[in-house]
Amino acid sequence: MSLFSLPEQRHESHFRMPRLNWVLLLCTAGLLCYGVLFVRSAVAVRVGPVHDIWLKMLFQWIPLGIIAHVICAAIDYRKWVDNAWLLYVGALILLILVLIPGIGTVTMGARRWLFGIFQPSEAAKFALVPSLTFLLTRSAIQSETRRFWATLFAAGLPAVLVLIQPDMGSSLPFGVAAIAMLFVAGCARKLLLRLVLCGVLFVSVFLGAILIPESLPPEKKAKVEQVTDKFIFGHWKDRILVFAFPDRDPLGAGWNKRQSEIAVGSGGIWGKGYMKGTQNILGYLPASVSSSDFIFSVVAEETGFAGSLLLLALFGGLLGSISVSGLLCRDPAGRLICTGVCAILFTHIFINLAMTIGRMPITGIPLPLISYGGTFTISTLALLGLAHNVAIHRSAADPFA
Amino acid sequence: MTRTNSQPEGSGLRAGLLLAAMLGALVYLAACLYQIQVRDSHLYIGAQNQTSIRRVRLPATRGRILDRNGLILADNRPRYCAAFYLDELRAPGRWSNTVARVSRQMDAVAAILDRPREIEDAGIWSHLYRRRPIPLIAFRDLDEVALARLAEWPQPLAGVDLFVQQDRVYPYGDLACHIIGYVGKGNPTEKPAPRPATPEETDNFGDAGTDADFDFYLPDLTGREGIEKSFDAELAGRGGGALLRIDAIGYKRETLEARAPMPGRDVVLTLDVAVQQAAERALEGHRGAAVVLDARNGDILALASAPRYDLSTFVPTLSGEVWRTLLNDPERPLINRAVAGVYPPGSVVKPVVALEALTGGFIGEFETVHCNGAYHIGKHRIRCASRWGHGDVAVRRALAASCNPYFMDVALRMGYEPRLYEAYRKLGFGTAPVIGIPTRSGLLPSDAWKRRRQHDAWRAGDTAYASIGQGFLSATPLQIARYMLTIANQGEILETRLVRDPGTGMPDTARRVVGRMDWSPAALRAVLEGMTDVVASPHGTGRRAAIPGLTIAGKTGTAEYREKGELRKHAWMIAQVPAENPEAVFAVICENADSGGHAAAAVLRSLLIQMYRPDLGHAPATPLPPAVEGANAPEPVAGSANAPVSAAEGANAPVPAAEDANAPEPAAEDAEETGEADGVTAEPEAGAEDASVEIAPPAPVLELEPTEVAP
Repeated sequence: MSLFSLPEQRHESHFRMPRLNWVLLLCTAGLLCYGVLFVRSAVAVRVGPVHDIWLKMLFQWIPLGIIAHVICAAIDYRKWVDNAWLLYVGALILLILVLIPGIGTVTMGARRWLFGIFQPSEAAKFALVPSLTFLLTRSAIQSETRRFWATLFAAGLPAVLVLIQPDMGSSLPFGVAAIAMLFVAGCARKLLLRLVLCGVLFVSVFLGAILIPESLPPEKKAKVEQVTDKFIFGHWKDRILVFAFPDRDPLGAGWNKRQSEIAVGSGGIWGKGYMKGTQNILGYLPASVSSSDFIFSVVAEETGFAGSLLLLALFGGLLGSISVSGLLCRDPAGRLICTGVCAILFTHIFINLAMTIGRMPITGIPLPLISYGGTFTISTLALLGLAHNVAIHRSAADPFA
Repeated sequence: MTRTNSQPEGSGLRAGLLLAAMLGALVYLAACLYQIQVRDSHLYIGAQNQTSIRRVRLPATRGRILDRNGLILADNRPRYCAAFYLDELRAPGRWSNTVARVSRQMDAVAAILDRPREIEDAGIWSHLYRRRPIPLIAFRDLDEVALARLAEWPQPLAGVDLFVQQDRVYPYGDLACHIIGYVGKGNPTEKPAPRPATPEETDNFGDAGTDADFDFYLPDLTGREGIEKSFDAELAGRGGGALLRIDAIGYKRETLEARAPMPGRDVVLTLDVAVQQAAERALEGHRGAAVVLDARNGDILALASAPRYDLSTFVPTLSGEVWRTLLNDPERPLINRAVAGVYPPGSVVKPVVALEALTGGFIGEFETVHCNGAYHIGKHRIRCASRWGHGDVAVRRALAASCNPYFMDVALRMGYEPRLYEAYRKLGFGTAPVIGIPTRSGLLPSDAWKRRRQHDAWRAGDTAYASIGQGFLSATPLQIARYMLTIANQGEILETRLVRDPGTGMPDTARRVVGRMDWSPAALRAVLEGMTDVVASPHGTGRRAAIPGLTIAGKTGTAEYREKGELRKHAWMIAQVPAENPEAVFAVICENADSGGHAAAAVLRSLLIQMYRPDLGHAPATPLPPAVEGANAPEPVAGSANAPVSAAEGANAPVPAAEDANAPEPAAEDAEETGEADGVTAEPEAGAEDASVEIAPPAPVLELEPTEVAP
């Protein structure tokens, strides 16, 4: 019985509370609280229009996200999967539109925004999960190898479009989600191994092209860089070099990494107290990043190890509750949706936290539900809605429910 | 992968594995967080403090300098400045916006105060670059009118506040300026090595006892000369500190912690303002020095040097022009002649010769030497003061008339070394006295010295000259006064003091005997009789110093020297007053004067009248300026005549010696350099009435600067 049955039926029968995923809801609510509190703290000392983002987050993006969540959770996930191609084509059109100069807005060297507020990469992320689920469970493709390549292509196309914005951070979840869904869908180990090997090879070449010239004598380095610089964007190179050589350029490319580590480390066990994070207040953590990609620095500095651990526990609970509802779902499509949502969230969480504490190169990727972001908040809550959907609607396909 | 409604094989396992991997990754992150936030947290806190905390040194109030009666010679006075707090005036955008805003505000304040700006835009830029977290002092030395205007200005002045600085003030003007010295703007790099902090002083300021640890310094004063310099460590106190938290741009955000500065200690001198005033007034119109010691305990009551300079021109800062004028003044007012002027002593050393000869039995008290007006040593002929000679003179008459042949004859009988040389050495000739401010040593020649410097042996002529205070022998007025002090104390050598214990300021009137001359009582009596005759007898050379009702035992001296080939004379007089049971001893020198019996005796008389007989003719001591009110200043004693008496009270109070730590070692080399200016050359010339030496070797001229003179 669903919430969205006809009113007459509901009136006749006894009202049944839909089977909500309470753990998911509680964790989401907790994380949103973190987000609202610490975006407020991150902008506390700022003056002028920057201060408005907190109000926007609280009264605009989160309510919109909750609406998206409800919609995504209410309409049976099978319908989402069956009509996924619509979402997918729509997302692709937006991704192509944003690349056209004059339509897409350029911020910090990347063409990422439509209409100034809309990030098509987020829409694509949302469209990806039902689309891949459709490919892996509903499509007419019979050959396992062909389905494998089709899935990779379907994930790779938006990923490449995002990559050339350029936005490496946002393209990563596409790859991770595709691999995770292929894995859970029962893809042959042989194919997966090859894929992973290819990935490792690619990353090695990428890193090699950046790091090897550093150890070369200057004249050779210049020659090699003439070639490599055509393929590698400047800030990727800087970030990876700063990660490899922490003392390099401490006032330039290394500044955020260093100051973020100091913020996290100086928080200690119990933190400095809400709105008392010195790194943030004194402006060592730049205002442009403290409320978005580096929000965890503010959380960690002000709440210390205790608060960070609670945050990790909430994320763990979220990922766990989604995975468990996937496991409980007998329908492969439901399980794959949960896997995809989990993979996308996890990629964001892990990369963001790891870069904030200096365990990964800086990657411009926000922390779900915590970082300030318009489209990002909505798409995250919408993805969670899909996962919630599986928990709510799995009964229809589940004889044991 | 099937299209059925049932899960593919192994899907549950794979999904479980995936969840486990993700949770494992979160646990890994938790472990990393533990490492950073718990285990290594202190490293990051340290790094953060290093980038965001600055130490600012807060100057301490400088201690005062007091005379023996608690009268304040050097004090502090608040000086109000208008300070600009740049963190409140910062403007967004380029630095030039902030500079422009500060500049506008400064113009506004300049208009309110009705005075020109002191700091131009370049100064604001420099402050922004180098001293951003601390206030910029924009208008100095605001008077009451300016303060009132600023305080009553109706609109609030953003980022402008008052800032109080301490200035040195010298209530007595140029009194004792050479001893007090002066202060300059503190320069931390010039600070003497700071003393190590005691445990209770060590706090959050790190090794805070040390000044080197601060990032910024607020204006401070450092002693540059005299007591201000020698006792800078005591006077300066210990600077306080403030920890400022600065933001990423470098402005001050908050003051985390502040430690109040420890004010400097007062330094109490043995000087008596009244006596010092009398001495300086007596010296007026002369170039020279006067030293007054308490005969009973060796306290320095006055240490006057003329001409003087005005200490107030050094506050708040000395202009280069005034400084150059002072430096180039031919009168050399910056030299403290009382302790750093090195002169040939002339006849004032004759009592030493007499005492040694009588004690050693080289001549009897009534044994006479014939004086025919000149004395022959080899081919040299040294004339006596009296052109036709004194006839047969014994010691008493010889001292009173300052008969050169008598003393030369006696000295030649006795020999220079070891006896006379040792006496001079024990009396402090050739050694810089340790009184807390830099002093000079003069020169005590010896055979070994002469061989080394002149490549010549000590000759009889040298002995003769040494017996009458000419030749190579030279000394400072303080050394001469100390020698007179030893005669006044029957041969007991007392420690002379200028500074009382700077820690307590307790009266240190103890009489500390540091040595003893083995002069026989009979010799002392005979010499004192002769010295009394110097003033009292009608043929005494110092009779012009006589004052009715006062017994004085003294000795005049006229030391000849050459300046630019011209023969000139320094006039000396030493004295103890009264002649019996003396209370005070005096040494006076007038540079380039006619003779000891004239110039120096007149100065001494003027000084004695002011001290003992203000009723007599001379202008009495003018009333003292009102004492500056001070918390721990004892009741000021305004009278002048009772000063030497008051020193005797509490003579036994044991107080530790304090002044020896800061006196720099005298530069013995300098003294010797000038000693070789000229050899002993004889040149017949008629002597003046009181001239001890007719044909004097040009003695070492007044040593003002260490000069190298090629032989």
